[in-house]
Amino acid sequence: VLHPETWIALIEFAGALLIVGHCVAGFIEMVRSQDPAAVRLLVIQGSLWGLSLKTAASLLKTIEIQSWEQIAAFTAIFALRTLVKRVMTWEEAHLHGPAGAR
Amino acid sequence: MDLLKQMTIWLASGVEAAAAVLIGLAAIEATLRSLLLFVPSRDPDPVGGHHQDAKEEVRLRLGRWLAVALEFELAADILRTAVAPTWNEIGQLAAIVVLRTVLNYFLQEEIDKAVMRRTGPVRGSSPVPG
Repeated sequence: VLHPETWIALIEFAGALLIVGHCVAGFIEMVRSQDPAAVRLLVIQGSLWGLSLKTAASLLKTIEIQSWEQIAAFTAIFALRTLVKRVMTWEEAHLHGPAGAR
Repeated sequence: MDLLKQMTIWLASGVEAAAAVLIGLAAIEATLRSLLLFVPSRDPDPVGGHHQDAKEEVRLRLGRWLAVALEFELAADILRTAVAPTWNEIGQLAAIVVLRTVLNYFLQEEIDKAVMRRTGPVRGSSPVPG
């Protein structure tokens, strides 16, 4: 149970559930209010939350990494997630700001 | 652990299906609204400004829903980053993520510009309200 691989998988899955949960909430919001900005904010917030959990899992993964091949793959995924996180944070601030998409 | 990865793939596919439904509904709504623009209005506008506004509104509304769909697709991409074992898959995922992010950025810029074009002069330049 204490094996890092188990924890990594569980944390990654919790992040996935958070993202999907917010997407479902976004879909319900879409039917309810038909406000695109509100739906986007919900999905962005869920994705940011999920990405934070996935970053935690990635940090745990560094314990497991052994070969250069694994390090390179880990770096690529980590850079990708960081890029998406940056853009989503910008979008969230933008949607909250005076030039919101409403 | 393989079961969790498999479930993540299913969840990603579900989120992508939701994005597809959203795009479909947005396109149907935009088509219906566009068709309604051809119905003669009771309040004819000789200059055509009102008609232009209505057309832009349809375009902007479609753009906003497309931005929402892109957000769903990005969420699905994030889910897929948990399951990307080969370099080929990582590369494809990176390309798609960058493409969707750039698309979302330009879509948002287009929406902002259109909104500013409409509301900018009212907010910024007129010192006397009304």
